[in-house]
Amino acid sequence: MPSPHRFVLTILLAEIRASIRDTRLSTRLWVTVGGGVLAAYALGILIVGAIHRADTLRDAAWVWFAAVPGTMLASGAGLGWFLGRLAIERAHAPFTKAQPVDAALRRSAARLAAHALGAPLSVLDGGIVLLFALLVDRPLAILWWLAATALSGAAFLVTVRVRVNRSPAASRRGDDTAGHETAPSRAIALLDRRRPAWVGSWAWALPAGRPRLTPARLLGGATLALVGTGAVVTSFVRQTASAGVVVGLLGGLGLFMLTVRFRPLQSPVLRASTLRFGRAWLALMRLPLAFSAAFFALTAIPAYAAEPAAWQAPVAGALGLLLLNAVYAVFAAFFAAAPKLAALAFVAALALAAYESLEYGRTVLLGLVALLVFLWFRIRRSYRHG
Amino acid sequence: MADPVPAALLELRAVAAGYGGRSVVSGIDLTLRRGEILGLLGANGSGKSTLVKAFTGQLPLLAGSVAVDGIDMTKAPEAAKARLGLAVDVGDVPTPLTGLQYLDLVASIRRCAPDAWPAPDLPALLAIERFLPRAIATYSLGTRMKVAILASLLGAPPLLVFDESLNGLDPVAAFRMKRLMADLAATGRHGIVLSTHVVETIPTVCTRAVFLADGGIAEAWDGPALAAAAAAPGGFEARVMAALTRRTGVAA
Repeated sequence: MPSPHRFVLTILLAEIRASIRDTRLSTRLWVTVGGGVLAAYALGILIVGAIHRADTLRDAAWVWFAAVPGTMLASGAGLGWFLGRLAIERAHAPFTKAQPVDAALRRSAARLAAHALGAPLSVLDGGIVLLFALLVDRPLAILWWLAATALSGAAFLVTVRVRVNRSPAASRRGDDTAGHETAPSRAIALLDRRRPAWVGSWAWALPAGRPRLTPARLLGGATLALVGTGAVVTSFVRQTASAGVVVGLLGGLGLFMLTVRFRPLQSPVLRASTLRFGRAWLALMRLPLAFSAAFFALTAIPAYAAEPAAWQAPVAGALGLLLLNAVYAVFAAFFAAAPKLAALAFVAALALAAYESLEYGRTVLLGLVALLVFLWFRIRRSYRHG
Repeated sequence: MADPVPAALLELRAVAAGYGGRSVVSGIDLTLRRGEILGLLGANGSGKSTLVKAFTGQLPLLAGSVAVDGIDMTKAPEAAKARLGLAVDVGDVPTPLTGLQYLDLVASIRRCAPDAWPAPDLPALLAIERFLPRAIATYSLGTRMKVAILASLLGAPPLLVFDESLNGLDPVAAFRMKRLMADLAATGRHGIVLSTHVVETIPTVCTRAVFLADGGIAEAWDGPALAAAAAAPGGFEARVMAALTRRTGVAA
């Protein structure tokens, strides 16, 4: 008889098998061949870089006592948080509500599933350090491998425990609305009632179109206001527009990345409607673009006043912000259900494109354009046909 | 001179559709005209929902063609979808919005007023008015279904598609909904597809019915055949069970 502690692992393995089975053969080939080639290429760059700089890297204290342990801790913790969340959400799957499963069993089953899936990845994490140590000819490579695996594994175990012991927040998103009548906020209504109406509130799961001022959102808003004010003050003190423009550009992009959500693109409500893909995509960007542009304007325009001769800086900043927002919006629409993955893919693609264009010239950017076109057509197809 | 046969509102020719390149339904030929209510029957997994997704433009066709009011779904999907109203599954209705906001959203997409229904005061008919200002997250299954039905009727599209939409409705709402379907079809402006597991509903509501099995149409009943089958109490149900037994070899 299977142990009841295995039920979360059984669900997750079944989901993995089902998602592989239900994926088109062409998509599977794209992911395995395309992803494999990309991973091999990235690994190749790292190997060549490590061999070329072996003499420096072998004895660099900051690498072995800061970068390597820091990376191991971060990757183990990130993996633990991700798998812990997946597992605890399955442990609270709706069908289990009527089953004799108490809270301790749910947590224990979630931990078991996260450990079973995460252990091989933690070992792989340490294996990369072993490879690195062998490439640069670091003494005691095996010890470094063991230490790295232990660090990554410890971070993984701690974060799994912390995440599993928290209640599953995701299942409550959008469902904890009060049962009484609710008037939408006037400010949101002003921005979100244009055709297609309320799509921003839907994307952000704002209950009845009313934003909830959570401590995290208040803290984020306060930080942005503080950084923006600091940049404007710096611009005036130093009589230069660049501080305000750069902060406006980065802050505006950050705000856009944090606020844009494309999940409604996956809904039959839009799929079975007359709304064209491009229009739906633009509509979902309406509110985030407004926030992003407002932040840029509030920092870049006063900064321009500090150095009116540098009028090109805010113009170039605004165009750059628009371009970066548009590029990110393609990634975010492709990973509509996983905004963090979208952010990671966007940052990785930009970093790789920047590195390669430094090495081989700007023509490499054509590769980024090709990737965007590919993603765009995939999202459009998925919008139309699920 | 005899009246000309009205043009097809929904026309499926040799349709095949499925997932991951594998067909779930194939070789489906079907025509629906204004004034008709087509019942779609079939066992679980027979392909009813896949077929509905295919002719409402939510799944790419693997073969064949779908035309809504003469407009090809593959060539002009938006124009074809403008002529159909689908009551989406309750799980797909956006729960953060209120019922009024959801109706606003659909009306804004369909470019019509949020109360542009084909019959007067439908929220009152379905007894949902008092729920509309509340968030859908707080609705019961039946109330979610009602708001999905209301949204499908916005703009009075000629083709109405209800995929198991009578499930979860209270008896009064289900009765009124069936009467509404009959009234809408009787105007001659609408054709309706009703997919359901409730076999007894078919002869009382539908003018035609098809039975799906193994991804194809296993049995079809036109108006007179439906009336004949339903003449005796439980007669139509017995015919459906006989069709099921013939198809699966297992006695119902």
